[in-house]
Amino acid sequence: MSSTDNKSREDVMAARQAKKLAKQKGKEAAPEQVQIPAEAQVKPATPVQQEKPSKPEPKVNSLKSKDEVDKAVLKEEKVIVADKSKDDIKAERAAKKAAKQAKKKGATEGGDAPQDKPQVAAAAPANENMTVKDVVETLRDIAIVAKEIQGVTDKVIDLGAKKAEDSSKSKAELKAERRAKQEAQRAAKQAAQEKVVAKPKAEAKAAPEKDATSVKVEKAVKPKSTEKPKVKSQGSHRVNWFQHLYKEHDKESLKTIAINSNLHPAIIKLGVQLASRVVSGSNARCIALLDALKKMVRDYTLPAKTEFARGLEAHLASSLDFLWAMRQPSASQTNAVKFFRYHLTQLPNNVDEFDAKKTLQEEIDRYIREQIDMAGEAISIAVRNKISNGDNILTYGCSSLIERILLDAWAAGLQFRTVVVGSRVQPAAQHMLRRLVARGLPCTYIDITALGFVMNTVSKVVLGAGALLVNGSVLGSAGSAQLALAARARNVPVLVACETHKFCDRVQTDAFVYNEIGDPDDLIDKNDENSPLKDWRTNPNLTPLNLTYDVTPPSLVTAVVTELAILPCTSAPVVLRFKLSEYGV
Amino acid sequence: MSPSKGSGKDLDDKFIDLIGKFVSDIKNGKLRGSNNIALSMVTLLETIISDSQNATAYELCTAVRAAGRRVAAALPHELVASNVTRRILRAVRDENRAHANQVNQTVEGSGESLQRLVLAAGARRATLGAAQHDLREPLRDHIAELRGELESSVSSVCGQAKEHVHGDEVILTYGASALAEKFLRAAPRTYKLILAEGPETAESHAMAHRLSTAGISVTVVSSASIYAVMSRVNKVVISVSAALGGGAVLAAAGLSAVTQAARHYSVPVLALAPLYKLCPVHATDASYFNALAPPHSALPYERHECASDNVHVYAPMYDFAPPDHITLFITNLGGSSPSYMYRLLSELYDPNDYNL
Repeated sequence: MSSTDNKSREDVMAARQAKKLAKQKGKEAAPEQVQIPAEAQVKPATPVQQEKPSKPEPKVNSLKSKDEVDKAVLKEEKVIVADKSKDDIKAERAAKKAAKQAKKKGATEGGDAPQDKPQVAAAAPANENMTVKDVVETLRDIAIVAKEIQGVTDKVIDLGAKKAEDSSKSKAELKAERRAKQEAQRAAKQAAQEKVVAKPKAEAKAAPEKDATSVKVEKAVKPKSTEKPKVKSQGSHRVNWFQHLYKEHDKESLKTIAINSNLHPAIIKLGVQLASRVVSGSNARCIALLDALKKMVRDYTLPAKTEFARGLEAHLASSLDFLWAMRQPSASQTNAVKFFRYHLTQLPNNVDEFDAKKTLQEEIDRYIREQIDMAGEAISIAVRNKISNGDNILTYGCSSLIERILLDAWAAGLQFRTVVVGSRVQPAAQHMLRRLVARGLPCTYIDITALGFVMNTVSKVVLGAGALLVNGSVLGSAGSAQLALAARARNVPVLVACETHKFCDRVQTDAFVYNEIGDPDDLIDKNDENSPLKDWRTNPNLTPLNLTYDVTPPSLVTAVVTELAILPCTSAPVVLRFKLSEYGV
Repeated sequence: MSPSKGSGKDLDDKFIDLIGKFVSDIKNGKLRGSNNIALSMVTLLETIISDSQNATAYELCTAVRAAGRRVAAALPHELVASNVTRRILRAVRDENRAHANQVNQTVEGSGESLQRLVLAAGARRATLGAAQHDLREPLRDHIAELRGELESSVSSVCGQAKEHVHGDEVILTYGASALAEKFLRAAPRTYKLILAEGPETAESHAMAHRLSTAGISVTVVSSASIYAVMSRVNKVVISVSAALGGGAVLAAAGLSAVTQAARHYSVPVLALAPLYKLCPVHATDASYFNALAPPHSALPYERHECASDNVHVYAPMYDFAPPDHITLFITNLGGSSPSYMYRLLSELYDPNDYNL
């Protein structure tokens, strides 16, 4: 955008110079009579440009007017009128005023189009008193600008199209936009052809070229006008109950990353990784966040006359805003940030910058070691004691903690079989299966639809959790509640392995209050080229819904295994209060 | 199982050829859909009956049962074929009894009384009697009636849609089924449908697409988020593979998760079961009747995880839902509760034919 700004500014400047030239010449000998009709005809053309897609007539209009301008220019060269009447001067003033107004109108319109419009308007009056050379030069400038604009229009159209893909729209709007796009492309083609023909020829031929450019300018406006209503009608394709959960899609948020912000590169990298789900799983997200924070602290330079804690706090807040815009924080991340902030506020006022950084980095390392690594080890031991030889352990999805537990138990010599349950939409379970198989664990893989088939042979269900809520509900990946329910129907014990750093003071009873809407396209079968769902965006009645989380009520969970103890779910508030006093989490 | 002679012995070669063609049509996928299978089974048995040398009750019963047994052995999953066989056997018995009554004018038992059910424990042959009438003529009417019933069963099930689906309700359905689709189309279009994709995703998606183009607002969810959305659902509509005698249900894999979630949230479950899907089988879990689909539907072959000997991958085809998970069966005769299914059984089939 900024490049086009510059370009158009240059052109405006060029146009102004041309105008000046014209004025000077006009003072010498001004056949102003011709100018008035020409101006009058150009003016109606500019408001038409600002209008929306009803093009055919305006095009013809502008064609005529430009032709007449050129005729006038030709005439004016032949006729030399000596005196300047008062009327003529008045007319000139009126014309200038009109041109200014047109400029203002363009400016109020906003967007990239207005910068071009005044330029056209300004160039038109400039024509009158110019020589053939001048006219050709300005026209060349216009042609160059037109090319630039074409580039920008294409970009805008592309953007518009992508937005259209992501956001939802009614059929009619889609059609309208497509039509606009097609016409824009057609016009661009025509213009390009005309240009090729027109360039080498004389100024008389340049007139249609100018028309083409003006048409293009007009086209540049169009995608804007069609985009406006689109924003309003995003309501369709959103499931009513989840309206509050929809946000600009990841693909969009990735585009809006500011390049020249003062965010630390590690933070930006993490943001991209979170948005693109490269880093997923609550432990991984927490560790990645702490790692990025550590790098941020290490490279932080304290502005002069600022207290360390205050300065870093401001920096931290902007970084977190960025990260949370990329993906909603998980409970583990929220807790880690709370912990970091707590230690930041604990720093003494007159602390040395070096010491402060050292303390903070050490605290982060301690948190990762104690809260995640050692806690995982403690849980692994606790669960291992519950696994006996010959067991069939069922687990769902992919969890780093569960993987660790199973691998440790296998390494400790226990003989058991693992049933890995996956779902088609989330391929994580297949990664889990691969890692377990690589270590030689005997595994069974089933889709979640086959749960009833294996549940009667399962002796324990071990689930990972995204967060444990204070009312005892377990926030897990979508499908875990179904698993717990099937286990309950067969009276199979359900153990949820969850470190206490994932305990969260939120309360939730169903999956509607808080959830994340995954990419709806994930529901569509990737192997199927012409999947019947692939054009769901054009069908207002069809909405794929891809939920990320699922809330398991405490009644379906036998126990939660934490590093402190094996507890009933309902003990979550006790653990939280304990942690609050000890860690400030 | 008194007349358990070899099945081939009771049938002519031409019938065996016919049965072979019927079975291969189904196996090759030329014949799809339980209703179509039921109809062609009726046609098959009709040919067997009308071309039989001896048309006494005993001969006909033997031939029909032999054909049914053959088909059941070749296609253990097409329970519908066996059900139709039982219906025709029942017709033969009824016809024979009517004749016997005409001759003897002695009414030994009035229709299908409970008493008769209890007393009818004797050998199969005993109920057939010794009468030697030609039953082909009267059976033709019975078969035409049965065919009419089969042809109209889908429409009569769908005709009840208005009684069960109201405006602004949220209906959840699971997987793809022609019957469920017709039922949902027949209901007033103002409801919202949540379609949970079943094990055959492509068909589920195609069904979602068709219903949405028909003007129904469809939300597609994966089979993993059924529990999450169940709390907002007003009714669950499912189509079953077989309705069992005790009121339990056999259906596509993953159904038990749906019915369990529905039960957890006390959401009524409507099972669409035309009477030809009613099986005289009492089972307590799916192990009685299950089959494994090729495992690539769960884990694609190209994933090298499954190359290891350590990995078992299962993809069962059917799932079992106990009677207490089903609120209502919608048959072509109207709605009936699971506890009443046993009674429908005895109205449709002769107790002697429960085992073909």
